[in-house]
Amino acid sequence: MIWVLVSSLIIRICSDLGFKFAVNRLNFDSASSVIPNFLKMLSTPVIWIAGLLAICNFWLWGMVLSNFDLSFAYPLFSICFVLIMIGGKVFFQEQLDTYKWVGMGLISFGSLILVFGL
Amino acid sequence: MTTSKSTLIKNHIFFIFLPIVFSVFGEFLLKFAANETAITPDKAGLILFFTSPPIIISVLSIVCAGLLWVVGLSKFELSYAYPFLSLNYVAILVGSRLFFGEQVTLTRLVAMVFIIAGLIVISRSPYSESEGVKDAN
Repeated sequence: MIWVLVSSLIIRICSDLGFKFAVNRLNFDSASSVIPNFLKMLSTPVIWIAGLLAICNFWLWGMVLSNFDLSFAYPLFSICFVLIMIGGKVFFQEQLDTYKWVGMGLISFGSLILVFGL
Repeated sequence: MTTSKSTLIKNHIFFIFLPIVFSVFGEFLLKFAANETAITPDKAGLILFFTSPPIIISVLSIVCAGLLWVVGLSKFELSYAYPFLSLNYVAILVGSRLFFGEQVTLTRLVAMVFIIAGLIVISRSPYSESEGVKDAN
């Protein structure tokens, strides 16, 4: 059942980066900008790919939950957090400063405690 | 740039927190449903999964979370907004104690403290605003 976990992890990272890519240029400034923005978002092919991946992932996640304890499987996904953060830098030229690294370190450490129970 | 960091966060932080509330609700319903029925990696499992009412409600809740998250994602850097999703862990820990009677041990409480401390540190980062927002201003 490990393959379910691993594929769920990879698919989740791809879909989250896809979502960010699709909405990165949108500017939700007022209530009236919501509909044009969502239409613009829906016209980007990436959003459909990301959406499909998210649906696949939802089903995979259902399988993960059938086989693992929620409090074990869930924190394991903190691996995603680190990879997504690096993805932000690589694909969207985001700044990864000391605050973000230290904060991420604390969160990952906390998640490791959750996974392994120590 | 016309909006300062603090205004941005004040006006749009809901779009980070509300999705967390909706997705935690969805996750609990999903876990509840998954506890009742064994979801298998075949056609029967797929049909069972997508026709169960609690699963449909949890899907809707997660879809709501997604729509709100889109707005948040357009405003904040991915590396700033994404770690806030780890609040889910905290909520799940509290909820799995409340709803499923799972044990919350001292080590898990310590883990929660680390996660929350990490979020406080990240929230202090000056790099929160998404590039797209900067361009538009």
